[in-house]
Amino acid sequence: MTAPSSTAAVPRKKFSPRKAAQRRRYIQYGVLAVVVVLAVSFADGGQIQRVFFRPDLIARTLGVDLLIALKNTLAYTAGAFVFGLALGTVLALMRLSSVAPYRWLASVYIEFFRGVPAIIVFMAFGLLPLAFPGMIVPFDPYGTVWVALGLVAAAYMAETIRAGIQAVPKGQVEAARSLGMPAGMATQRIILPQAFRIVTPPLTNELILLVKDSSLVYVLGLASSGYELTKYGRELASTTSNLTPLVIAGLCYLVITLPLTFIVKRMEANAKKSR
Amino acid sequence: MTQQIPSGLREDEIQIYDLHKAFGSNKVLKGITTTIHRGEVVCVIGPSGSGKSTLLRCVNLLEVPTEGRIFILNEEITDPDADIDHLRTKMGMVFQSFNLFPHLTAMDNCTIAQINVQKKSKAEAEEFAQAQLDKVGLGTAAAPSRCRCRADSSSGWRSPGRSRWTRADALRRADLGARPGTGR
Repeated sequence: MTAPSSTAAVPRKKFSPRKAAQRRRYIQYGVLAVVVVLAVSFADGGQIQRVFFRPDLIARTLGVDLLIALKNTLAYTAGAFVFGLALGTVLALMRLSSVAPYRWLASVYIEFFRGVPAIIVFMAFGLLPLAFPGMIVPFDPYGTVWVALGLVAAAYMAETIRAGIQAVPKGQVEAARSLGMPAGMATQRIILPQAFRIVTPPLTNELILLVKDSSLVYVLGLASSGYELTKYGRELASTTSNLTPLVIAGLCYLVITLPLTFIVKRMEANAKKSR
Repeated sequence: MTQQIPSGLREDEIQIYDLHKAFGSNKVLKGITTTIHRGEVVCVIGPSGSGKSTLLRCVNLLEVPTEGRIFILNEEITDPDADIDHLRTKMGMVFQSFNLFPHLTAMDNCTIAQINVQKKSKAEAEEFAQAQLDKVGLGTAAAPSRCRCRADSSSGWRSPGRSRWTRADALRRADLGARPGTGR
């Protein structure tokens, strides 16, 4: 564009930087407009509606079963989060322990569960009753899901919490110790409360991931009363050979995750302000 | 532990005996011997990095001395069997960088150790803290009705000395105070 013209009679007009930027912007708008026009003209609105948003299937999906599935998703996630948070906190403290074997154990655990696909863990849990006949997990099916999902979540949360603990200034421990608090009390009263305040936004992100990961528990082979959103949507989608139920299920996830995302943004903004 | 006290040590003293502290090969304190009596105000002065804070931190055993013995009110804090947490409650330490607990209110900053370490009742602790806060002109900052005032929210709380002294004082053992200078 700025290459010198060979017809040198009139020197080619150079754009000022602002003008050049404006031109680039126009080009980008132009490309976007072309793509949109092409998409709209080739797309078959009726077809899209029939495949993704069929009204009768929307009605059929929005039933009591959807509420049960939504409730299950929430229950699986909440239980796994609580379990993961407790285990994750213990693991984080182990990683920072002055007793070396604790550090090793925690590291091995964290690296294992972060490195192995979650679905493999769930598959293994699904086979446990076969491997150990007569084994009964309390709160079936919730217990199994909470433990399986929580074990994986704990590994990720442990690292988050460890970072939070280390982000608490060293002077805080010293201040606590200088007031005569034993190490355990200082950790419990001074360090952890501040660490959790620091890691609330990243932990909420973990929660969002957990909501989505709860869709993987279908491999546990749950009874229909234990279906969560994904399994429910998929079953209905394959019975009806239509994608509408899956779309609804997907939207349900957004109903859960978008508010959480919004909360995280708010918290991060507040944290920035108070700093 | 009384038998370990070198002769001539009074019960109301801090006695430092041939204190050495080295960080790796960097020898910071080289044989410090001194006695600080009750009621005495002692200033330790020197250029930065000369070990003033290290000396104070050793007295509180936040730094473990390489060598030497330190006696606090009749008890040796450098004794491996010493109840360090208990001895620390007898000292008020004010830190260079404030180190107030930001997640607690002003009042809670002053009462947390009294309640959890000295096992005082909440009312007793707050009464004492309030008296101390009044003394330094911060009584209203921690008034129970306005207790939500966070320890770090008002500049007054962060002003050198006042709140930090208060928290240290609030431990009640204000008889021994160690305070690194801030130059502020």
